[in-house]
Amino acid sequence: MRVTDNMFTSSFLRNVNNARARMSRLQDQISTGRRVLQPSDDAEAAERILRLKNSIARNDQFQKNVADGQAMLQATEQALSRFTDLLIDAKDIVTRARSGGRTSELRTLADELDRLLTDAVQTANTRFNGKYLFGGTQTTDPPFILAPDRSSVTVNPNGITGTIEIPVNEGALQVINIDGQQAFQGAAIFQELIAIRDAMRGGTPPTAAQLDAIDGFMKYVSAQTGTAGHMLTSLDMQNEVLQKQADQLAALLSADEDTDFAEASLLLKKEELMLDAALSAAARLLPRSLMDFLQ
Amino acid sequence: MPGLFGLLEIGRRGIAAQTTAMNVTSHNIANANAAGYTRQRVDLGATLPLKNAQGFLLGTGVTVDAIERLRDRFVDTQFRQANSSLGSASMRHTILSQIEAGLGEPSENGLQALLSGFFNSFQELASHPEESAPRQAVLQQATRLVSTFNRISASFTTQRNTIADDASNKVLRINELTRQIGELNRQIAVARTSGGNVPSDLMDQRDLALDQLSQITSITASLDSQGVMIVSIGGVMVAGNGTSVALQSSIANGVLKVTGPGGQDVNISGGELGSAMELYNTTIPAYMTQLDDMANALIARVNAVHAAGYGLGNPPPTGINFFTGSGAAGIAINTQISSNINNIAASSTGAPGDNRTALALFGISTEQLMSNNTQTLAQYYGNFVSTIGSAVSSAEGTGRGTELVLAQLTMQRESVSGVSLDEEMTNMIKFQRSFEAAARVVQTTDELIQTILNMV
Repeated sequence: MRVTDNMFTSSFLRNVNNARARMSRLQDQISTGRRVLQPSDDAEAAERILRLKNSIARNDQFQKNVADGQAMLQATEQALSRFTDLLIDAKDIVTRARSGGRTSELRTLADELDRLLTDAVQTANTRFNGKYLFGGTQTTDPPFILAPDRSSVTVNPNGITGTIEIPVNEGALQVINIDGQQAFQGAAIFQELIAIRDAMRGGTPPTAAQLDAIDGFMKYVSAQTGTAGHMLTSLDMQNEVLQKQADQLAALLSADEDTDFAEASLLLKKEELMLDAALSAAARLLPRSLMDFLQ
Repeated sequence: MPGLFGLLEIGRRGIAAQTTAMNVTSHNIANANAAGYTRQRVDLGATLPLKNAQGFLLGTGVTVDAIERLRDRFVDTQFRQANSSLGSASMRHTILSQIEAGLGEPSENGLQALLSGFFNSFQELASHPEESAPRQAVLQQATRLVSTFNRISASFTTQRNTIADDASNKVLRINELTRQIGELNRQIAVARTSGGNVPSDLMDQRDLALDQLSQITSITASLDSQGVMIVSIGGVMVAGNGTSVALQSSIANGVLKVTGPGGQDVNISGGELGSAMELYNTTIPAYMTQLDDMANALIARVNAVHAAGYGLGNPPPTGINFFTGSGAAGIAINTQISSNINNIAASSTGAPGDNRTALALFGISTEQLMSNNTQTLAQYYGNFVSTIGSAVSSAEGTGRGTELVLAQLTMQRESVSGVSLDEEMTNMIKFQRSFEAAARVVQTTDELIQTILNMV
């Protein structure tokens, strides 16, 4: 085969160009730390990366939801346990009222019970993050209304029921509220307290049935505290699951997206050597011609 | 003629032939780097012998038989085919890479991230349906999503407009080249009939024009018996002996086409123009349709769920569409939503703390709305991105492969037609020595004649 001068130069230029293109790509991969910079770098991996990033964003949001739910359930649990304490105090007052007997003493205890009623309604109207915890889905209005003359407690006419669910994982929803009906069986507790207070003010000590009723309410609300606790535990478990999933997703993403630095630097070194070799060969061969040897 | 004066004539012929050879060698050296130049070679041959008195045949010296043009037509044809393929692949790669870059994936600002951000904002809303901050976030995410749909769609349109401009320039270039080829055909025919010689440099120009033409589109070129290069594109003859035909590009009903002088369609395939037309007429519209389908599915489904829900207010607003418009270019946020975030529906009952509509809106992210209910929006888009990515890398791969073939053919062509300076230098020395020797023949003959004259 005849080899002409232009063949030397053009093949040299082509080789150097190709080597430089490969080096530039490797350099991009090393400096950005990412292996797939455009979908065309690895179309399959790009699709997986998009899918994984989507899953990671969703996982982040689930974790946020769970944290919100945990905060809300913790507040619910605290409110319910405070409500239980108030009912224990009420039981104590009622017991004392039954063992005493003097009208003046009953009136004092009735006033104590009245103050307790205020606390109880306030606790049942606990707000957290701007929402009434026990309003069901009517979170913007207080669920329990104490009449100005303190003669009755009524519930929000729009209702106090409704469950709030939040997504805690792919396809998994969890309830994060206990509505007023479930927590306190509506306004019955308050009505019972009002009835006892009014009777005591009238000089009638509470009956054994009334004491039993208060005790029953106390046990019921205490059980609801337990329910809130169970819901909280299950959210904690979800949180652990989500975190594990997040770790796995991050590892998968890294496998597809991140540059293998060792490999990339090694390849870069190889390209560098090849480029050096091509340049030095060209430096020796290109300037050679017959002219160098003719006088 | 044999005799002393015959000797003088042989010497003269030798000098003349070597001078011609030196001329061709210098021409080769001078054009070593000229584009499209084909090296030339002098064919020297002995002139007719004559009988002397004894009846022996004696030589009468040398003459230039021909100045040859060293060219391999077969390699030329292959070269032009490969050149068309390379033109096509590199055009495709350039345009598709721009489209790919326009998508901006994978990144935080790509459609995929914004789509998942949009749906996730409804989860946040589900956690706090009665508050305004998550509503603001929903609106913000939706705004970014919508503007990205609009932007990508606009980039497709811009890309098509650029292609159309480029195509009309390329058609003008084709016309210019075919005009040149027609004119060169005429000049070559004239040169042949007048001198009987090979008009090598004119043929080089014609071959170069054909090479350039082949990069723009696939061509068929054949030599007729008169040495005229007949060129046709898509079955239409565009250059003949002194004639050429101008083509025209036009866009009708969103279709880019090239027509001949009679208005007939010219089927352009291969080359940069063929690839540009395919991108304009088929590839990009298909991508646009996919993106539009996605936008339309999103609009329809989100609106259906949203309109059934309730926003915040007294009475709670309902029956409001979230998006308006259609397609990726037209999708927009309903002004009722953007002007009042309380119109964003989170509740399915009207109760401010109810979040079932927000949950249902989030749920759309996992609904299989696309490809006959087999893919979610995110999966569909992931596929879309991957399709474009594969198209880019396959165009790149084809380009690289064709480049190698072309490099190989260039080498083959160069091997036959290229100028080797070492070779020319060697020839120069050879012709110089021959010239010197021929001159010596004349000198010696002169001395012989002197000897004879002195005898008188």
